[in-house]
Amino acid sequence: MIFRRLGQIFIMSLLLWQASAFAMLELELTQGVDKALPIAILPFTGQPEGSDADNMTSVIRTDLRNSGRFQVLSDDVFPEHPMSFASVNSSLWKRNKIEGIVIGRIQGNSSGYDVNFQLVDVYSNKILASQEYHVQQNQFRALAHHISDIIYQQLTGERGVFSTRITYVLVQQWPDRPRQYTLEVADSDGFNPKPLLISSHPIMSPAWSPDGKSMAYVSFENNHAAIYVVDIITGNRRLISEYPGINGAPAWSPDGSQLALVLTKTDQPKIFVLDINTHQLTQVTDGWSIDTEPNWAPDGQSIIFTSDRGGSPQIYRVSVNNHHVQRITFSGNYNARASFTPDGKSIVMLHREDKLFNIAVQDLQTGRVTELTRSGLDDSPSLAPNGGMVLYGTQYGDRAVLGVVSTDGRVKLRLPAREGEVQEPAWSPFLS
Amino acid sequence: MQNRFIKLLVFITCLLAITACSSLHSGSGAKGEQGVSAQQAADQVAESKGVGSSDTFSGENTVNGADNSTKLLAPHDQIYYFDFDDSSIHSSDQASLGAQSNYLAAHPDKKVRLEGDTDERGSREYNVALGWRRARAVAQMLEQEGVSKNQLSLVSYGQENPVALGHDESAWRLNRRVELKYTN
Repeated sequence: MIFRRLGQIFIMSLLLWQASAFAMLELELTQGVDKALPIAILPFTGQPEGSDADNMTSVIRTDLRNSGRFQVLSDDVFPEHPMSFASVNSSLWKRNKIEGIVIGRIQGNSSGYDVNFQLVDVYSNKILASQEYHVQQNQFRALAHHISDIIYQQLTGERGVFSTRITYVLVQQWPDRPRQYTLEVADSDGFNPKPLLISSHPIMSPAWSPDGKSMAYVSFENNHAAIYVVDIITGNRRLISEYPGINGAPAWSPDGSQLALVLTKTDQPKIFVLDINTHQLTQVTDGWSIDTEPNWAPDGQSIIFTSDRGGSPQIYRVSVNNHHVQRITFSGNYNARASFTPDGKSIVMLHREDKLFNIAVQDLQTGRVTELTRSGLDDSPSLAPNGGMVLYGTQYGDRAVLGVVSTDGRVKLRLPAREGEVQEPAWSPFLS
Repeated sequence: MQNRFIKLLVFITCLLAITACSSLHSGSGAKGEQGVSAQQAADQVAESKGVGSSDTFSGENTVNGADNSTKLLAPHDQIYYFDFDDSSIHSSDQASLGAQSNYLAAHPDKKVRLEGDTDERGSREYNVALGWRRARAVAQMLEQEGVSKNQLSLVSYGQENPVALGHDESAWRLNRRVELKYTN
């Protein structure tokens, strides 16, 4: 556990969008771990008047609670309200079996707000983290997520994803109007949604570039499929692929210089790799099968994809250099849309067992498959950049909603939309 | 008494006439019923996608005509249905496909778009590929009968463009389809 110097200033990357109090998706924890770590987030003093969305204490408490790994205690069980580490009476907290305390303070001044916080380990009586920031009020929410990341990392050893984003396709239908499809980007808790594309035609397969600055997607505007890449900040987009037939499933190489995609130039859906700068197009798979849903290995040397070359959809791996193909999945009669965990040792995929479509993880070394979900109507799994959580599409109460499940299966969340159906999610990379 | 009897007779005759009319228009072969119910389903869904009317062909005998093109009446947009995870065309659709290809081969300026669709089960991009296979199967059958590639454009929407929004076989079977749409 690292002791951090008091007064260390951290310059936050400025968010170009105003934080908003609106969430199109509402995140609900439906299952947490058995032995959640008890932690007390004391109310940050000096929180200025404003909307609830800016309340730093509340955002941090919600983040940590929704991670499923913390038991975030409510005010009435606090034995005292210390203003700083110096005044903490740790025996009082130990008696209540509380392991961590977060103390925070917000102070306004002429140019904005100074915010500082301390994370205290009760049992060792040490400061695990202590930071000070200078921000504007419209950055409170983002700063709270950043503080949640620090707390999460200190106490679990894993990098937090509270400052990451998600994208998804929202489908809305009203009487006497065509369906409306919206590609949206929001904070990972569903807040602050912004549209990237609004269309009366389907939108599919959004894919974040590895630097988090661009998004590739498939759009059916003009009554045929085409792949675009949009700059997320400016909204400028360019057309990447518009061959006759399928233009589908774009997937970025780890260095961001290439896109794997699916084309029917040879009449069958095949995997191609397009160099984004030189525009060189290389065919990577061949034959009469359906080959689709490519995703790159973290080392950029191979691509896994869905193929029915064996008779039913299964996952295969093709080497980028010599195009040698190898089958990966042997359990269940339908495996699709696989992607690698960041350590390259497992894949997460759509897996059918007994007619039920669920999200599963397969250990590549042992071949063992573990199902993470149970609803039977799941699709589109997307891993968080820390490899710890999977975002996916599912059904709930006859509506299409998003779900989140941890890769050990212990934590579950649901994100329904306020209105309409939501599908095709993708989790951003780390953004800061 | 006689008046009432006549009225009843007229009433029954009308009923019979109406029934006869609807069965005339319910299309050729076994696909007729499905075509009608797709129309009903499309109306309930309130989706303005222009799902075609049921397949009706009133082509005339063209054996003697040197000028075939003026004798053949334009066919309508049509829907072909498929089994789960399958892209083979039902044999009962061959007659209507034959009528479409006859017309298109005789009118090389006419173009159609073939839209492939699937039900919602399974992986989305895989379903785009499956819908593609279905559209290709229809295209190949038309091409074999003399329709030029230039007259056909193909797109697959996979599961993204359902006409029926339920989550059971009664909805799924209506979504597993290729829509043939005249674009001029």
